[in-house]
Amino acid sequence: MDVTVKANHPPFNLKTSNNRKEPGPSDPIDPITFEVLRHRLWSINEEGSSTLMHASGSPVVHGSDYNFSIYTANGDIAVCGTFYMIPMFTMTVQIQLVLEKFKGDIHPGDVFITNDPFVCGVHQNDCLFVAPFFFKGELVGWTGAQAHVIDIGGAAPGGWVPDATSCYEEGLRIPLQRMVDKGVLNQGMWDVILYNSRIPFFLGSDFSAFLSAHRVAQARLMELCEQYGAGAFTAAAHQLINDTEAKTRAMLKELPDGVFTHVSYFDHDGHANNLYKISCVMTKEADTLTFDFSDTDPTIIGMGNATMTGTLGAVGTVMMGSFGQEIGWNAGLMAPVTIIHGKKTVLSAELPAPISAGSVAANFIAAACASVCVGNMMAFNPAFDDYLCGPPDGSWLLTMFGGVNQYEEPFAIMFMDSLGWGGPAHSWRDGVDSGGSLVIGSGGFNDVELHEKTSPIIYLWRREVPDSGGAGRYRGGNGIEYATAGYDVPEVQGSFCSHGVSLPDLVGIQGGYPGNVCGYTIARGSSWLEDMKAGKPALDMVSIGGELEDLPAKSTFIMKSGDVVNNVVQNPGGYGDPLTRPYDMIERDVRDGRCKADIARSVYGAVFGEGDKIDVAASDALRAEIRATRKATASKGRDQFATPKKAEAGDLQLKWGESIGVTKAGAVCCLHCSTEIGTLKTNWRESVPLRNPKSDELGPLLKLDDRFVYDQFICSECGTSLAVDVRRVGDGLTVDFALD
Amino acid sequence: MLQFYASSDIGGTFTDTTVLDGEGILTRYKSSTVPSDPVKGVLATFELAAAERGVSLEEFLGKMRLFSHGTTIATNSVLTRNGAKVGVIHTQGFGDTLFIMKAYKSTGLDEAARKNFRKLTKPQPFLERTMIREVPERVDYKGDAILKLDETAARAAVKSLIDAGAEAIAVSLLWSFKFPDHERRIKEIILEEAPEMFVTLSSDILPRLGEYSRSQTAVLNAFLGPKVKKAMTSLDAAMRQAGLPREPLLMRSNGGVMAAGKAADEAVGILLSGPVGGVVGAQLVGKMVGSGNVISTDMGGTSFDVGLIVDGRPLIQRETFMERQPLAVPSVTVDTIGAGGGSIAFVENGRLRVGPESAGAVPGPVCYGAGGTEPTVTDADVVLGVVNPDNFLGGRMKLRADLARAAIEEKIAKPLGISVEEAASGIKRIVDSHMADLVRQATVHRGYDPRDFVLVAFGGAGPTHSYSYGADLGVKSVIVPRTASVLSAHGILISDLVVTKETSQSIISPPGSEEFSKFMKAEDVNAIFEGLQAEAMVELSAQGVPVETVKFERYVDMRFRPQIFDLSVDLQTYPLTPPDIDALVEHFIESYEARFGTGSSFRSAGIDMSAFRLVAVSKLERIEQSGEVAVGDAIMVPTGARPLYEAGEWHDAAIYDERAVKAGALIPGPAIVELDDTTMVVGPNQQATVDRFLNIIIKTS
Repeated sequence: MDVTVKANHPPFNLKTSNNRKEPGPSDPIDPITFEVLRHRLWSINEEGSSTLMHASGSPVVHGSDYNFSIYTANGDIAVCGTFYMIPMFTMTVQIQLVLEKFKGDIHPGDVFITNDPFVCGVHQNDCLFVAPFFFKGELVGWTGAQAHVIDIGGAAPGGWVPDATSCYEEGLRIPLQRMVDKGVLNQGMWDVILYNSRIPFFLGSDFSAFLSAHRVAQARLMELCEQYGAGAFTAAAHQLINDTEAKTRAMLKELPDGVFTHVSYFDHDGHANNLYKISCVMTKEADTLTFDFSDTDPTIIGMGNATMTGTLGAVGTVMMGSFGQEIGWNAGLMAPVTIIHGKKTVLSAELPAPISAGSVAANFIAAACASVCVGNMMAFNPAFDDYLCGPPDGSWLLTMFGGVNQYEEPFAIMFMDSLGWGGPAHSWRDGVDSGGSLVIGSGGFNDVELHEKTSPIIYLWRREVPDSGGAGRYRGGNGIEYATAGYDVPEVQGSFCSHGVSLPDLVGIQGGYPGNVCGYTIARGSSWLEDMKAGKPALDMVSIGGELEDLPAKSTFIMKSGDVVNNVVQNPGGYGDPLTRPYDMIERDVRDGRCKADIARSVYGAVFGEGDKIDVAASDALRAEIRATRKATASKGRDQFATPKKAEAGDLQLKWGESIGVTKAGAVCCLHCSTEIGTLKTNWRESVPLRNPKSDELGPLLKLDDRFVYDQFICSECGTSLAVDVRRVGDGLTVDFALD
Repeated sequence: MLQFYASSDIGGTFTDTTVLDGEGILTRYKSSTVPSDPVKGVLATFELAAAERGVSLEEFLGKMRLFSHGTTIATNSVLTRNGAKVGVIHTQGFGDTLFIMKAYKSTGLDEAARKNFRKLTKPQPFLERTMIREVPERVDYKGDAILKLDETAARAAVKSLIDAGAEAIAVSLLWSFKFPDHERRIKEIILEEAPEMFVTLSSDILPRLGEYSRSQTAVLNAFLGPKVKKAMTSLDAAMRQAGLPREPLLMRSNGGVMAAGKAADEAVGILLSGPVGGVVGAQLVGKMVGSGNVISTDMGGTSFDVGLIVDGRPLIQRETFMERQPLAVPSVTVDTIGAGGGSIAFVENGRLRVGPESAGAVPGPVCYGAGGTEPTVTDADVVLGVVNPDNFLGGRMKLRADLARAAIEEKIAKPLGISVEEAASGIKRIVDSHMADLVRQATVHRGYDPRDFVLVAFGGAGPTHSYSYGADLGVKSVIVPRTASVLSAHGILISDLVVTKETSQSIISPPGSEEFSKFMKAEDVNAIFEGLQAEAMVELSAQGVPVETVKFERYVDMRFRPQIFDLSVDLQTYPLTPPDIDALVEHFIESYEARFGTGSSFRSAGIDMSAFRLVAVSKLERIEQSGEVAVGDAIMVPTGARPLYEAGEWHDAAIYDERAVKAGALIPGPAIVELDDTTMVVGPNQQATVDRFLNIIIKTS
């Protein structure tokens, strides 16, 4: 990977570049020993991971906001866990920096810490611990452990500070330093860090867990080296990386060269609902990929920035979720990848920009944009048909409570419940409901009872929201909503930080619709508790009384007794036109409560007859009517033919997924009805009819700020939805690709 | 006096039976299982046993003082999703609990599956989504009912589930383990509306914090209950009709047996009965050779199961996973991977891989000649001379060595550019190292050192491979028991009545203080255990157990306050005094540091005693198994020799028949002992001894 890290925080000012060029010498390894070691290394990495989770046991770590990896001597990922992905990549940079800064002074038993996003971190809460692994006096590799610690100081509990204007109002930044010196803990450093946390015991428990994970994994690596030799470890690690690199490059070679773009916006900077453009231009050439984010808006003086390393991790996550599905996850995946960051953008913030949401704000959108680009590219090769899906992760709906708990102890709790967003629709199946994330693929959250026992909170509900995933032939997964209130204490401080409130960040693909927006609604001064005691249940936000208000994307305030916040997560988009969704799937969804009957009618064009059966004739008629309405409300594309004509079999030169083809003569063709719609000049979208549907046509929970518009492109003949974009008013039409 | 003690392990394919007679002589029998009528297989083995003793089946059964069995009925019901149509009743607002699954979609999957994003989906819970009902009620974390149960709504929910065709109903409300009244009232309502309905309350089946696991376990119990009830009733009737004078006992996942007629109420408690029988059998083998620390390894056709016995007791786990969903009843720990004789080997990108895909029983390995085309571990064993193609399963099946060889040559050796022997040896090395990795996980990972353990190997392929994976681990010795092919049945035979009772309660000390007994009161802990003991005695009394024969083990699940995971710590003494509380905390910290490393504990974080578990054991009266008298330097005569490929070369291995095995004999490696139904290997640089119970023991050093 071509990482350029320019840290402006003294004493570092260094460049590291393509660390994959010289993996260094290693012994040859036979295929059988390699397989034995591959399995053993994974088993060791698993042990490191589970040790970290068990020994920490913080609900955040338990919700899988952590990870563990084994690295080669120069810092390449050799084996990596399947939990929170982003820091796995940034620890590569950390190891390179340690090698530079502590050259000649790295010893067995050392552990190096940092959480500095401007050096090699993500945001302050993600603490990174790397430990060199020595065998017989020789540096053989590294182990890396990372977790999100619940509180490391800052103006609000949990360190998420929406109204910060610089990082000095946020959590403590820990420089790249030695935490353990030849096996002896740096107690002064430890004390200083814990001293700055609202909940030092939690932090201490997490830190102990990091050290335990290193200790356990390194003991196992030691046994491995004693049995097979350090050379075998190095050879196996390099072989793993080389295999992955070779396979990634081979896949790239099967895909068309060209430029793929996607733009989205980050809403609300903690002070006002301003918009910030995130732009990804992906260039694929032969067996290389370049992600260029430099057309992204300048750094925000507020919440939402990512640093270069946070963006690097986001791209790495996309590579794992796409190219990495059937191959080993390691540095080889990133070998063909170059990232161009741009200077001081929202995705490459520098000191002293606010960075407390560096893990889940702009870099989530960067990952979503990169995902769309990768999907658009894969859509050109039918061999990758079953790889096609929309972007998986839109926004982290951060909800954080803090203060004094029912046991009169300080507390802070981050609800991992937000991980309950749906998965993207794929070209062959619906998205996973409530729990479809890629970025913490193996993650999940905690029991309601656990949170209620340890923190002064109560849930009024936690349930799936019907029709919250984007509609499509295959729909995006539905996500959850959960309502929480302080309980048994007079007040708690709440912090609510997200994005994707003003616009959906996750588009559908191949004509599918976007998923819902996320949001927080508060009922102030509700009487839910009195009502319950009087026998009246809490059904929804209206039933509990109080003054209802939609909160902005970011806020922090004291919640009084009676205040209830409902948290609704953002969900991914659908695949293909919802009017092509098979009736039996709609029937099943309505029967199971995943789709409401009125939405089945308005969005999917399915009419229920007797009982729970769809009336096929009536539905076919309604679908025809919807298509006709689409055509009637569309405006003609610039390069659209005056009269469309039927495409001949064999005319097609290119297919893009299931919606668009290009004929040999250069006409854009609808693959649904084989009609040549227009001539292809600069952008296929100019060749087909365009309409601007309102939110409620696309889904019940979609919202769109006035500053945006939906562009729906349809076939001039059959009226099938070919693409639905979310475009900022004033921006040009979306350009998905330009092939060489 | 003519008397018998017998046990059967009714597996999917075979029914294994062991019989212990009045002289302490143990014999074993095997028959095919008749899936539609499991009693048939059992009676077939009893016919063999009776005939061997020259008595009639009726007479044989009439003299039977104890019959215990293990069954796969519940397991098969889960795997084939063939159980009751279950309805569930949840607290309003939380009806999606089972489907949300706490958002986990990777649980129970291996590395490759967890990374394959497009194929990563959640498993299906054991009920339809349309069978969920919510009722207005709410209990808080202190157990206060802040919203009283709406009985009218509850009745409507029950009726609607009955109308929807529910065959069993699970009730799982928030905080019901603190305040079970609402669940109990709903049960009354259900039984008023449908007196025959099978009902499971989450507060009965699993009174523990964590609504997801509690709900899932309750639903699974309801899914299995009616079927298990029917099966046990018909088994009891059939056995009694055949002449058995007493109620059969049934093996449970907790390592003990119970009256079969009571099994349905806790149907989830018998899901692991077969594998757990094996662990108990390994525990017995450990006792025979004088070792309290035993690693139990069972390698069959598709899976490799590992259990642990520490200080003479099987390791208990609070929760395991079945079909990727939690099964949260306390059970004997069994870890599993997909590695067995049927595991398929393949070459991918110039690399040799083995498993987890299995050729299964049909078509099975290539050498079965039943149409299998993918080379497997058993095929490699045939090529290497480890398995005798003419004496597989006691000669019941002839293997096609030529086909095995050709498949390995075509699919493995040629693509890798190595010889057939090297390829076969590579397959074996890989599967052996995978198994060793699992044993490492099961031991080292939990803070135990394999070097302190003996390893017992059984199952169809365990004795064949154990000389290699056992040596890799550095265990003290590898033992292949005489009953290797029926060890689960043997374990079931020697299992006692065990009742496990658990409660989730929290006794905590504040952060910053190390005066633990000042905050955590000994009398509170004692009171909890008294309550559990009373519950256990009620259950044992119902099975006719005299109070004075019962022995109790007590465990406390403890953690540092900021943590979620507990470690189970056993009480060394009871009742507790304040100093015992401090000692208990120290004991916890020791176990913690054994698991996570010296200095890893964080005592000033405060301690949480979060769950309390009592295991009541009632010893069943039984004859001791007698051994043979070991003759010093007994000589065993080989029946021949065959070439065995190991570590890159061919060796001449002596072949011994099972009947030639003599107590006290020494077996120098390389050697192959052809036991009935399995083959044992002693490696080239190893030697084995035979003890008085005819267990064969390889010293690995």
